[in-house]
Formats: sequence, C-alpha cells, structure tokens
Amino acid sequence: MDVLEADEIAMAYGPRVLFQNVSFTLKPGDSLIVTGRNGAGKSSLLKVLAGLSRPVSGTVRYPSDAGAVTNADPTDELPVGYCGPDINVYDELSASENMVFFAGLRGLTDVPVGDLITQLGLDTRRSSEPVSSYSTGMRQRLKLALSLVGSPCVLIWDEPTATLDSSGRKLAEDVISSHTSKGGIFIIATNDDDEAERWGTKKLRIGP
Amino acid sequence: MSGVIKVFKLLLLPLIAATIVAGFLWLPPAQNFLNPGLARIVVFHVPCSIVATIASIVATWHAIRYLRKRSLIDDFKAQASFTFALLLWVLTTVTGAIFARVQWGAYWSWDIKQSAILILLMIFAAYFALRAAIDDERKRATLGSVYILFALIAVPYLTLALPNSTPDTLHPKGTLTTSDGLIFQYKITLWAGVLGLTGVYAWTAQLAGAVARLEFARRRQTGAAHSQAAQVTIVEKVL
Amino acid sequence: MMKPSVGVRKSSGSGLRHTLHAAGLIFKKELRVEFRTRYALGSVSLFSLTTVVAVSGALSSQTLHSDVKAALLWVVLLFAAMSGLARVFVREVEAGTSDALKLYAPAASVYAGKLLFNLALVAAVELITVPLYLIVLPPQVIHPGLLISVLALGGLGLSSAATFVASLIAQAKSGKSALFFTVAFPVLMPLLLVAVKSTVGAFDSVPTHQSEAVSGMAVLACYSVVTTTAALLLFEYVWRD
Repeated sequence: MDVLEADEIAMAYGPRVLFQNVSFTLKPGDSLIVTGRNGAGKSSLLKVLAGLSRPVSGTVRYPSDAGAVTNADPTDELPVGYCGPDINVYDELSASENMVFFAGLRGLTDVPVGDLITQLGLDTRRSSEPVSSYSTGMRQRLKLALSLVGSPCVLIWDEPTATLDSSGRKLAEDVISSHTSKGGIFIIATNDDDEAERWGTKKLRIGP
Repeated sequence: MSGVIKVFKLLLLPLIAATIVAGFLWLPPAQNFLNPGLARIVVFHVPCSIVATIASIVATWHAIRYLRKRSLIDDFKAQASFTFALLLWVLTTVTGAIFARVQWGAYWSWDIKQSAILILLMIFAAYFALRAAIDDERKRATLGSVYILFALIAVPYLTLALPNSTPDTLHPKGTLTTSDGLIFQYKITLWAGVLGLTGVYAWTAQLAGAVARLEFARRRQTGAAHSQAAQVTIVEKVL
Repeated sequence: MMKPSVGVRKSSGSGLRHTLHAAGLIFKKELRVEFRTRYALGSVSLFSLTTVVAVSGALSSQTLHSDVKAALLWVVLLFAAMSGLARVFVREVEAGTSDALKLYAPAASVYAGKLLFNLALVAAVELITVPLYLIVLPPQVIHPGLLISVLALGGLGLSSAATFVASLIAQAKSGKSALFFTVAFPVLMPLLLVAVKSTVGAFDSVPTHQSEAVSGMAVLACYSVVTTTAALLLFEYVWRD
C-alpha cells in the first residue's frame, strides 16, 4: 500500500476539542497544506501524523511494503521525517555528529551526511562545530536536513520556512519538489498562504 | 439486583454502628496488655489495613485498564480508589500507633513494621505530588497510572515481606489465622468491621464512577456544541 | 528514479540487536555531551566532597559506631547521586530534544542507554566519595569484598529506580528537582535501609551483622532486578504519548 490514510482523527487539549472527524487520503506525489489560525491545532495534527502525539480517536495508516503500519506502531518505526518548532537537535554536538547519531538510532549506517548538509545549504566546514554556535536559520536548515535522513516516504514539516532567509526557502522548495516528484508524500503546516498555494495539491483548514 | 444493593446500603449504617458499639462496650478487655481496654482498637486497626489493601488492588486494576483502553473514566476511578486507600492507610498507621503506645509504651519505635508503613504512606503521597505537577490531563492520567503500577510493586514487600523478614518485630503475627490468637468476640467484631468498611468503600467507588460518567458526558455535550470551531475543511486542488 | 523508502527495515530477528545497538549509541551520546559540558559530574563531585568534609569536620572528635558511619556514608552517596541522576531526562525535555529522540529511537533503548549513563555516574560518585570518606571517618574494620559488593548492588538499584522516576518527573511543568526527590525517596527507602544494614556488616566484625549483610545483598539484587524489569515494561507508556 502506498497511500497515507487518516481516518477520523480527533484531538483535544483537556476538555477543549481541537479538531475531529479528520479523514483524508494522500497518494504518492501529493502534498497537503495545513492552515488555520494560530492555536487552531495545526501543530497538533502534524504531531499526530508524525506519531509524536496520540490522538483521542482515529487511526493513521502509512505507506508500507509489507503489512500495515499505523500510528499505533512505535514512533521510530514509522516511515516519517519530521521537522517542527518543538523539536531540537543537540546543542553540544556538531551537525554531522547529530546526523550520524539520529541515523544510527534508526539502524542506518551509510547515510550521506555531507550531501544532506550541503543540500540544505550548510557550510560543511562548519559542520564539525557544536550546534550551539549556529544561528537560528542554520539550525533550522540542520533540522530540515535531519528530517531527510533515511529518505522517508512521508515528509512532515511544521512552519519550516519561518526562520529561513530567501536562499534557505529556495533550497527547501527544491527539496519538496524533488521529494514529491520521486513519489514521496509531503505535509506542511504554514501561515504563509502564497507559498502554500504554489505547491500544494490538497489543502486542509482547521477552524473557520 | 439494585434492590439487593439498596437493602445492603441501608444495613450498612447499623452494621458499622454495631461494630463501633461492640468495639467499645461489648468486647471484653484484652488479656496480657498494658491497657486492656484500649487494646480493643485492634478491631478497628485490622479492618482498615485489609480494606486499604483491597482499595490499593482496585486502584491498580483501574490503572492497568487506563493504560490499555485510555478512557479517562478509568483514571478517575483509579485516583478515587487510591485516595480512599491512602485515607485508610493513614488510619491504619494512627490506630497502630495508639495500640503501640498502650502495649509497648511509645507511639513510634521505628519498629520495622512501622518504618515499612511510613514508607508506604510516602509512596502514596508522592502519587498526588506527581499528578499535581502535570498540566495535560491525559499525560497526568498516563503517568499517574504508570506510577501506581511501578510503586505498588513495593506494597506487598512493605506490608508482608519486610516486616516478616526479621523475628524481632513487635507487631503480632498471624493472630487472625491462628486459633489461639483472638477470642471469638474479637474475631466476629473484626470481620464485621471488615464487611462494613468494604461496604463503605464499594459505595464510595460506585459514586466516584457515577461522577466520572456524568463529567465526561457533560464534556461530550460541550464538545458537540463547539464542533463548529473544530470543523475541518479539505479542498482538493487540481494542478 | 529512486523511490523514497517506506520505513526502517530491521532484518528479521535482529530487533533485539537493533535495540541494544541504539542503547549503546544513546549511552555514548550521553557520555559525549557530559564530557563537553561536565555539568553532572562536576556538581555531583563537588556535592560529595563538600558533604564529606563537613561531616568529618563536625564529627572527627567523636567515636562513632559502625552503624552511624554506615548510615552517614549512604546518606552522602544518596544525596550526591540524586543531585545528578535526573539530568538524563530533564535535560532532554528542557532542550527540546526529547521529541527528536522519540522519532528516532526505540523506547527500550532510551531507558537502557540512559540507565547505563546513570550507572556510570553513580560509580563515579562512589569512586570519589567512598575512599575519601574512609580516610576521614575510618571504621574500626573494613571488609573490602563485602563493601564493594554492597556499593555495587546498592548503586545498581539506586540507578535503576532513579532513572525511571526521572523519566516520570521530567514531564512536569515546574519544580522538577523537588518533585524528583519527593517521588524517588519513598521508592528508594527500602533499598537504603537494606544497604545501610549491609554496610554495617562491612564495617565491623559482629557475626550477626555479617550474615545480615550477606542476606541483605540478596535483597539488593532482587530490588535491582524487580525495579529494572518493571521500568523496562512500563517505560514504553511513559515515553510514548
């Protein structure tokens, strides 16, 4: 099965319902734009899709070669690459050390760390300095590069370009179009409507 | 069935009243004790510990159910039983200390059984401290349930294994089960106390369940009213 | 055109190897981060040195029983270790790397890797504290085999329970240090009582103390086994939402 299916997802924060009855199907090459007001629940939905949060109800089914993979399976086994404002890389490690560490955790040993780093425009000469010396934009590029480790089928980015300069944004777009043209699925949450309009095939709005 | 339960609830008050009256008036003073009259507190002390154990087990069961089904009602019930258990453990400790005073001259002597129950009280108290520090209610429920399971492994050890591991403990052993322990009147009052206290606990647990169901039904209604805000629209664009 | 992969392929039967390998990576990462910042070991060593000096200064003129010396040793070890044992989880949550770890690592590896680090930390605390303590407050006799065994088994149980409790309190919104002590101490008390009792046997030559020490060792070992098993079974629920 090569589609991503969301089936009746509902999420609440305490007694407040964020969204419910969210169902959609994404085919290879699809890209989904998630929009909504601040605090509407975009990040919550993306976290559910990435397997980081457990929804109140509903299931997510992921593309898989053999057998069903759902969000009930362990998060580290899902074919997902995620980048969001809530997650960080280790400040004390360098860019390449971070990449090698996280790739190794998933059992991947020959990851082209250098290539991924340059793909997002990071200077390889600085890639052995600790991340604490990076600017916010550089850190964001590293996080985006990290989400590509293992060439996951589903790429989920939450507000990826907010801290990037224009060259960073261009590189991100190249990554997205390359990913979807290879048959990957892409999900993004953004407040930037023009950017969204350009390359989304499906749009999901949370709230009025 | 509900008729039987109603009858039992009505009988609960006379049963407990009879137990208390018997404990103070009917029972003969205990032999071989420093203060034979006050030693009758044993018929209050033992039911407390027995029903506290029952409540702890029920709380553990609800905690397991929550982790499997993730229904917040189970967490509510686990917390209710856990609270009742803590109350009874405190009463057990206090009545035990009073008994220790009359029998051995001191409220607290760091006897192994006393140390063990003090640790148990601290374990129970920590549950509430942990819950109070977590904002998100589902996370609070998950961590609370996990804590119940992790910490309550210690309870059998603290109540049975540790005190019985050394012979030099002041706490009497096996007086309920051996024939030359308590005399008949004590035994019957004690078990009446167990029955009555279990009844009170069961009633409290049932009320807690009813409160939980009402609360979550109310939430579902308000959730439905706010469904407008939670609406999601999906638009497909053809490129 | 290469199609993006659809998941982590674990070759059949190597799920355990994968978990162990990931645990090792996490352990090495913790060591590496610790060496670059030296927070935990630094503050913990300073704590134990200060306490030992203070205690010896106050009590050096007294002749103390072996049970007091045993109890004091464990109090110093416990407080010194506890001041650093929660870092493995609290630091992840505060730095925001916790979710990243969730995305890439199996749950069991996270607990195992961090437990290994805490074991190393407790071992370091004991190596720093115990020799100094034995110099400033020497007991009348030392049975090294017994002492080392108690320290090893007690340290194992301490790390195991404290690591698990750390994972619980790391998700609190504030007051994590106080909460860590509040939740961990009751669970650690049985361990502490038995460890002190066994250490008494290592500090004098009374035969009953010796036999109590040996049976205490069995209890410490059981405590470690039970705690680690329970932690491994329950950690999945703590780690995943």
